Amino acid sequence: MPLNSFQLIKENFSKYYHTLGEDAFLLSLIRQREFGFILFDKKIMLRHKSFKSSEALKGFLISLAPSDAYFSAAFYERPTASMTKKGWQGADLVFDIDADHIPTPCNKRHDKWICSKCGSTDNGPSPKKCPNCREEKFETQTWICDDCLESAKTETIKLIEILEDDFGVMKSEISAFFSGHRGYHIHIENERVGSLNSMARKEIVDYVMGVGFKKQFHKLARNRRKEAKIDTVVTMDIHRLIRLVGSLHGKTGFIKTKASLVNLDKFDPLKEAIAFKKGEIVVNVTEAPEFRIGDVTFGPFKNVYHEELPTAAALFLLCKGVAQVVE
Amino acid sequence: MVKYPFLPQVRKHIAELGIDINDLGELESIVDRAKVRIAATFEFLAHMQNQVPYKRTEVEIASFPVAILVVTGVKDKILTERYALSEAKRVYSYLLKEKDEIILGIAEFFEWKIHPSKQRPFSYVVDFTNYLPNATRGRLVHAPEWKLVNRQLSKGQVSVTKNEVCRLLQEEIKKYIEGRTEEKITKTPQIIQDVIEEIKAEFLKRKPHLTEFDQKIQAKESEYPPCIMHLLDRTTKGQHLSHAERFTLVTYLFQQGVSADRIVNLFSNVSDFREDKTRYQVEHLAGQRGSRTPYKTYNCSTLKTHGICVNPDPICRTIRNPLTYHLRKKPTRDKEKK
Ligand code: SF4
Ligand SMILES: [Zn+2]
Ligand SMILES: [Zn+2]
Repeated sequence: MPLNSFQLIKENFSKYYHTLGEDAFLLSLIRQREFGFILFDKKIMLRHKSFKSSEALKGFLISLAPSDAYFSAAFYERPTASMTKKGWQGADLVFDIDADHIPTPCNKRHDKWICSKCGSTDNGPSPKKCPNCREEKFETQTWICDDCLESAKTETIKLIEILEDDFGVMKSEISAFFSGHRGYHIHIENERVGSLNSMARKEIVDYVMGVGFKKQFHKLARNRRKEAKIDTVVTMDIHRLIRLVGSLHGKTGFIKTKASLVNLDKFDPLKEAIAFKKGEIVVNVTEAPEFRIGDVTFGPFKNVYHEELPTAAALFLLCKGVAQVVE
Repeated sequence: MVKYPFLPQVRKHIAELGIDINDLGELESIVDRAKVRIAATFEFLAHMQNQVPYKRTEVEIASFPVAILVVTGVKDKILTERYALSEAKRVYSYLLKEKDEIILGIAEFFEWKIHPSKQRPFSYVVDFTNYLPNATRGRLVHAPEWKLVNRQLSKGQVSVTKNEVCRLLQEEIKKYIEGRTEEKITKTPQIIQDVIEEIKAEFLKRKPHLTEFDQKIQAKESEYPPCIMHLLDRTTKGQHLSHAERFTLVTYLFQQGVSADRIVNLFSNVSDFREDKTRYQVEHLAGQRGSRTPYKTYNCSTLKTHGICVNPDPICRTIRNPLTYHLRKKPTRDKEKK
């Protein structure tokens, strides 16, 4: 990505953080959390940071305008110490439901693969072997649309039902979020659950996904059971850094947004997660499938020059790396 | 009380007994009994087991904290583990014969959320936050009937039989005793110091028999398990591996004695390959950087969770970790040769 595109994204990210209230990042136990950031210019993770308050964190985000911001699901005695010396005290139970883990027909429409050897390309998920040269190595490009976000939401709703009905977790302890890109996060804050180790969390993962299900121990067949597709690694990792609630996603410019559990089925991520609601930006777009932001649908684009787009749409394409700023 | 010397009311009772450290006769009996407790763990010091245990309740009860003091002083992981296991097993056998009241009381001491249940064959429902940490410990972790996915779970409550609740408590008690041996001790009387030395010496003599032999035989590539073959295949084709997949492959190969250089080379086909980065990661996992101890390959059950276990074969049913796959495979290979 050319430098001025980076620059522009950074400026807008910084501005967004500036508009937030002092209490934008009211995390429980904020002083005991570890924070991490990915910067636009250097693709490295800045880790082991800690903040005393929402205000301090906000100030940091304004001045650094990172591409991605994370906080630890865990709370520590010494959040800034190296991994082995942190003093783990517990961790929220976190689930990640990502369209990547759910096969949807829409990826035929908006995802793309390119053979690393011969450059053959087609829509959809990559095949096992390149039909042209038989090579098995591909670059892929994924996109989002209402369909894959909807199927991620369906899994999320199923997961919440399992958590409530089977695990007895109370609604008040569950928070659901649009991740800002391709899925949803569920955070559970409960002292008893928070103390569970990785092995115990693995059992929760297996329960939710039906891994290790043996017929002889059940009255109901497996297909009568409610299951949800989740990322297995995220839930088991008790030191995991999770995208910060209220921060911007570096691949979309969308906010990681809290979704009300009551009306989750009506929650529209492509509306609720918009950070930039004013102004326009002129960009050149190389290639992009159709996409929606709020009530407006854009594209598809192919080598379009000097296109004036609303800020949110332009930033989305810039973050996706398929557009450049016109000076 | 004699049966459950870890309960808080017992601690209080000991304080009230006012055992006189200066009364050597009394202290000696307690220490002797403590020695028997530990020795029973190892079936060594056989002559000591023949000693008639003190019938006096005070001595029996006080011997438990003293035994813990001794084990703490010896500071050996295996000794601690075995000692805790034998005490926990003893409690388990008592619990099986107890009424609800006692079982519930002990569970409550460990802050369990537990209720009696009338839904036979179950006798209790236990909160999953108490069930899980214990059902994933010791032998239980390998048994399908203990897996949460195979249990009746409703509103956070796991249904368990009386026998099962006792078994879960056994794990809880074992962990509790292990935890107590981690407490800092300030000053130990000479007589206990002597016992610590005595036990340490006895134990060291036997330790080589107690530790399992390290597995030195390394696998040939033709003996790698299906999951590893699959990852290897994808890597040589230059396909992208997830973090968990890379971790699995690298730790496995390293444990089988494949050099870091060769492992780094394997990844050279992957599209985002960067030699320096890959070398750093491989050496980190191999324990050559900072962390020292090499990482162990995940168990099969974890690999199943992450979807890395593919096409398991009949040998797979007999193992718990891919690292031991080739050891089971060997006999058939030898047979083929003959
Ligand atoms: S059972 Fe274990 S060794 Fe066999 S394929 Fe699965 S993970 Fe690999
Ligand atoms: Zn090709
Ligand atoms: Zn889609």
